[in-house]
Amino acid sequence: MPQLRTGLNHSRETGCTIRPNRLDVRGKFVTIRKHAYEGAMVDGISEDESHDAQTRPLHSHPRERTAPLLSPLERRPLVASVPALRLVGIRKRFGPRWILRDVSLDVGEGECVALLGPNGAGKTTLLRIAATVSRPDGGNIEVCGVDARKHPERARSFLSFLPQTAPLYAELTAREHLGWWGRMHDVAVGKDLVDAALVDAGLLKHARSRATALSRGQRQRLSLAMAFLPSPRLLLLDEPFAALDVEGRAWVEQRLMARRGLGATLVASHEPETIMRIAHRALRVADARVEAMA
Amino acid sequence: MSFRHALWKDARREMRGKEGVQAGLVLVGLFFVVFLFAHGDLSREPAAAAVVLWVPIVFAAAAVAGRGFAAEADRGTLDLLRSAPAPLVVHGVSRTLIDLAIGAIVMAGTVVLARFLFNVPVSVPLLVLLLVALVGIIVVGSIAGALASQARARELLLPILMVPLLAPLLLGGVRATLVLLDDRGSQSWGPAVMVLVGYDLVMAGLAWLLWPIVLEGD
Repeated sequence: MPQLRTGLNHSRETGCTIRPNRLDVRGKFVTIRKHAYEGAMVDGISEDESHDAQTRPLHSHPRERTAPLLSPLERRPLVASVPALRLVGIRKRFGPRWILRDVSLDVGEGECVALLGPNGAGKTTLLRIAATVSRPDGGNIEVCGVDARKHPERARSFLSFLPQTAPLYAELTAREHLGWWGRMHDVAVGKDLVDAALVDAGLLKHARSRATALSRGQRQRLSLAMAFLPSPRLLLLDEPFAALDVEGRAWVEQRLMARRGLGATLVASHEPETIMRIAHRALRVADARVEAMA
Repeated sequence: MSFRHALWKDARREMRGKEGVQAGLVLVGLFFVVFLFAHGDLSREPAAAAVVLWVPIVFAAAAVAGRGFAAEADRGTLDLLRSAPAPLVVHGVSRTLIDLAIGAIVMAGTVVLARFLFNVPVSVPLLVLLLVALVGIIVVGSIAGALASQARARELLLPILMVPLLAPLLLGGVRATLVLLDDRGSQSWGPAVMVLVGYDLVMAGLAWLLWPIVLEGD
């Protein structure tokens, strides 16, 4: 019975990224159990055990006890995976001004890519288009192989997006935000899982505080915790370090480092020193174009 | 599934904030205060009684329906909803149902005040008529509000979008109300209600088709 850790291998021969925990050594499909909360992956189990696994807890830790099985979408065998995000010929303009012109980029599975550039360069627009919340004037968007313009809901099931403004509802508490967002992403969020997310974000003592009672940094932490909660295949972050204190920045850095090799991340930031410690590569957005940085 | 969660979120927000109910009831209260200076007993004045019932309901329902997605747009949570893996129509229908619940509370307040302050003869057919009309007003108002929320001049755009669409409903509804209040033929209110039900169904169908387009990003 294979007991493979979650991780990605890159094949130099085929140029494809594979998820070894999805297939055992004989090529048999393996059902893995993944913790719903970002970065807490547990060992895979074989297909024979998958039924039993639904009825018994795997681990004694409360975070792991509530771990749901993968959704049917995630459970599909991924042998030779496509990029987590592929943008081809994206064009966008506001009025007469072109914000993005024929922008193409790939973000591979497990890859962390930084988007750098001056204010107004189009980083946020590019992220919003990738997150399918903004419609491009032309070009194609593929999220994990799904055409996002034809099947937006399916594409969104693979991604999680943190907008620039840390959007929260004034009437909902921190705990309610996490629970609601997890359920919207079809994650079985129990109290333990939400508690784990709150502890991780350093917000446990503010669990019952409404969003209006939180400071700007705490709101940013809560928004980040919401983005991390569904363990997305593609994470899109717009200025994740904004308004965070030193501890908060270290937390985000640690979380993004933990994602490397597990899920794709595209981060727009104005802090090149910080983001370049995390990212595999950086892209510069300027003059409506995107170009690779050395 | 996602509809249940969207509905839970909208209901929780309204129960905590109570902004919609408060805004609607304050509008109704102000109208009645002003109307009290001009009128007394309206039991024998069906035209004035119809005004007392319809004007606050239409204005309050429009105000309630118009603010739902405006708040989402202002707080930036519209992007959050758009990035959720749920059909966009789910958010529109959820918002419409919450607006309908608030509209029903405001309508109940209007009817009670009209009955006690102006002695308007309230009957079951009249309540059914108002409720059916309210559904149409809210369905149209919610989607017009969502459209207007993404525009700069949203206060101007909302009535421009709503009034032409609501014209058939208002025409039929007010005439049916006059017939009911005039006590000339209680048998003639049925067809009017059926026309309003038909209007509601058509608008609900159109709204279902339009929600994804209206809520899609720029």
